[in-house]
Amino acid sequence: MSRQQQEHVSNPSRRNFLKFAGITGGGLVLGVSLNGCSSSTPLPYSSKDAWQPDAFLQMTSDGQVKFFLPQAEMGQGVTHGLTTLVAEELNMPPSDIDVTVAGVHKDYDVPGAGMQVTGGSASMRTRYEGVRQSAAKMRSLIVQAAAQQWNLPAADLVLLDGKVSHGDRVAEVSEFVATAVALPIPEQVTLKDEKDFRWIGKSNQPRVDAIAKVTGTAEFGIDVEIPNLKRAALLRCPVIGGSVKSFNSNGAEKALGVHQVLSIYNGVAVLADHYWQAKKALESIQVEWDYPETLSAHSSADIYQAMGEALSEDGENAFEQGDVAQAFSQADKTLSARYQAPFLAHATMEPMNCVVHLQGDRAEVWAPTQAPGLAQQIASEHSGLDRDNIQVHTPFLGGGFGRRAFHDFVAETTAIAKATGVPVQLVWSREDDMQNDYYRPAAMAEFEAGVDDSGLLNSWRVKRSGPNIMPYMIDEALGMLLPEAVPQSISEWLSKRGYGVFDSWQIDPASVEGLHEDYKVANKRVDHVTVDPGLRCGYWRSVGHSFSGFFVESFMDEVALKTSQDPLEFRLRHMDDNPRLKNVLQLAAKQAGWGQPKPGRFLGLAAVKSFESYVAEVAEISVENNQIKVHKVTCAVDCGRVVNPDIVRTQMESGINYGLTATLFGDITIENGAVKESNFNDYPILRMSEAPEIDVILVDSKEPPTGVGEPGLPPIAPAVANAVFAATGQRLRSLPLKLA
Amino acid sequence: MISFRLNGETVSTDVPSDTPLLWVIREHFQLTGSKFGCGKGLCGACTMHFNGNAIRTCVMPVAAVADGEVTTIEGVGQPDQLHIVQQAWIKHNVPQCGYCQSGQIMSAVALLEQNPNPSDEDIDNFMSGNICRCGTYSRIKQAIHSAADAKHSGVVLFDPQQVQGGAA
Ligand code: FES
Ligand code: FES
Repeated sequence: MSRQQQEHVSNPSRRNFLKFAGITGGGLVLGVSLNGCSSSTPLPYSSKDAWQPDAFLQMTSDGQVKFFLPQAEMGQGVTHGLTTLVAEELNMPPSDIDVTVAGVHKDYDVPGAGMQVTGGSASMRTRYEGVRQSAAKMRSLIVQAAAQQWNLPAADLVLLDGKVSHGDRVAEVSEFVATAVALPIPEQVTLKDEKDFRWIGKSNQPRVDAIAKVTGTAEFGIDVEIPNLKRAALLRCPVIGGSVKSFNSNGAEKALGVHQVLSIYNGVAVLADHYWQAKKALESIQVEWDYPETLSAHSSADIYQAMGEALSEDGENAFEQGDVAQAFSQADKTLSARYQAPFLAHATMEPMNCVVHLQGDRAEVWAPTQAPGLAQQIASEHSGLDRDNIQVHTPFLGGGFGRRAFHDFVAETTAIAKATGVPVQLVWSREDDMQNDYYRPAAMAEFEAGVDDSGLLNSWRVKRSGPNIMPYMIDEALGMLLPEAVPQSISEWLSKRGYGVFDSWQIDPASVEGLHEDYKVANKRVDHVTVDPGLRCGYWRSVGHSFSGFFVESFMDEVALKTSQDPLEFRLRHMDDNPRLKNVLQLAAKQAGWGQPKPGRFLGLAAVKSFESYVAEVAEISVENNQIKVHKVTCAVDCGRVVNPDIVRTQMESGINYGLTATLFGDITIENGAVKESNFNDYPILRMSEAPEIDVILVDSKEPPTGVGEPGLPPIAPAVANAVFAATGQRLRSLPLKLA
Repeated sequence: MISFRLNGETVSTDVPSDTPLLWVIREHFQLTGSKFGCGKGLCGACTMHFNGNAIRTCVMPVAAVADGEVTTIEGVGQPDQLHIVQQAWIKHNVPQCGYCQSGQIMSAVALLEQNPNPSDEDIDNFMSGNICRCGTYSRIKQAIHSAADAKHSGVVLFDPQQVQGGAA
């Protein structure tokens, strides 16, 4: 039996979500082991009373199907999405499958990624085949077992809703589990024919996590409760990366419920019985900080000035095709424009939090994380325990958007747990969360286009300046990327070299993605200049596309209008190599009534391919009292085969609204290294009265499915900016959009 | 000692009277359906009912509810006995990450109690104190309209006992 506990997210018998703490893989022990796996490494969650052909699926002796979900649920619907695949192949309702979030194990690594991570809108794209194969094998083995027991050809038997039948003869699958265990697991089995699909591609399916999420019973990280848990709050340096020189607790340790006041590597923590006691006690503590030199020397104005100046440097070449210089000299007309996007916070609805329980040479960590293996690594670095002795539980995430791919909150909690020797929950305040993010990197870009006498682009040159994400990811993940034999001190030293070393020899793909790919132009060149003030950056929903989509699609509009072409027609003329993007653009434009806006309303459009999905959006806006009001967004998406139409629609809506916050409000500003914004009063989030009506068109496709968590976002900012130009004649080249 | 009624039962607590109700409910009474989002009354994640009104409990000292009636999401409906608003939420596929949804539902229930037939504008006005970072707003609006209609007609919008869809 594996030492890993199970984190149940869905239990069909109760139609409820269980607390995962305390539920173990044990239970009824039969005389015969049903874990038929002959491999030497035991599968995670293997149990004597359950048959487990692989790491993903288990069938208990009473016929209950259990699915070990290898991805984190942060709202994007992966729990329902992947469970749908299992349900389809096993020909049973998704709601009858018991879903458990898997712990850390190499079998759960994302194919091709080398680690267990939820990001890059990759879950459906990378798991579609594998999860279906896994479930199809289970189906095939159960049917074979029944065929053997009944002495009938397998082809004559039907598996339906947990029962095997042959004419009038019907039996529960549980009758065949013991026989199935002994059968060899086939290499490859035939998947269900799409004409027989009952769940894939069908609308009006309630998500398997819906009941828990409307009744307050869904368990998020912040809700984790274990015996003797103490709560902590942490006072950090106003500039990220600072440390404590000295502090005066001013008697905070004597406050009601407070156990201890202690300093850790980045701040002063209060440990108390209850969160509010810890949080309140923090107020009296005075700290003298050691400020980080680089970041403390910067404020927003000088950062953007440096990024602007950098655009006149040569930079590193990221992409080149044809001869741009020559094409420019032959162009009929050349145009240029410079765009800017700010740092942004993720502002997940659930602030960062974590529970760590160190128990001698082993530990348990409850972390709302997008990468449990990294959480394990970070907890190992800060506890000194072996990675393999740390068990990570992943509850529901109250939003992720890339923030929870970084684990500073796990590091802090582990440090406090180690220093105090008790199980600890650390909860961040909203202010902590806003001011200690891994921010969407700010970016600036200079575009130049050459247009020939037929109005076609003959050249496309772009240079981007700004910070990169990769050095900060290297900092986080190096310990995991290096072999375990490399001592921690060496990996730490190496990771601190990341910034300089990385930036001078590599181009971070996330810094330049989306700057040239979507349109057919014979001569293209993309260059990059790194300008990094030292504010840590991370993956923010749609990553580089979050700014490059705005830049490219605004510039395309400018070029079209300045060469007297319709923005839709102009784009279509450059999309012959990109038929799927062309198709969604045409669909969205048609549905939105492109060219015939309602009186007082103005339209803007944009189309972006990101994460292998194709999305076009048309924004319908008005400008009243110098305020931009987005009334309606028409969105067309081609994400290959649509597994869950409802979820694709909701993810488009979600990406659009998340993107609208960035379009209209989002701006993280820096003063002497400190983030100024602190809560939703100065970092406003789109509210209901500001949210548009959204109409989503799904392309019916048989291409392999691709992700939808991020691709809805990139087109929205440029669609709105282009509509603002139509309405006012003002070309707003900087986010958030501010009318003059 | 402060006493109040919590989901219909009388409870009492000796926590300092300035402790926000949210933390008393979450940690002392261990009802964790109500969430912490901002601590400043700006997001609505902590919304409960106090004497029938939707309130932000992260900024409401527990002393302020003494002898009053507090209802949390746990008091509104159960997984096997869903309130019509919760049913509407499922039917319209509202929840994504779900973190804001207890607060959204508490606001929506209070709205419908005060205004059984809200217009889009009424909904916007009443619900704009509840942030949803996943952007589920248009579905919330539809769900509130559905719940309002169903309340009048007595229609069940979602029955957890019924296996959903998927004709064989
Ligand atoms: S947590 Fe109370 S309003 Fe945000
Ligand atoms: S559903 Fe995630 S914040 Fe509302």
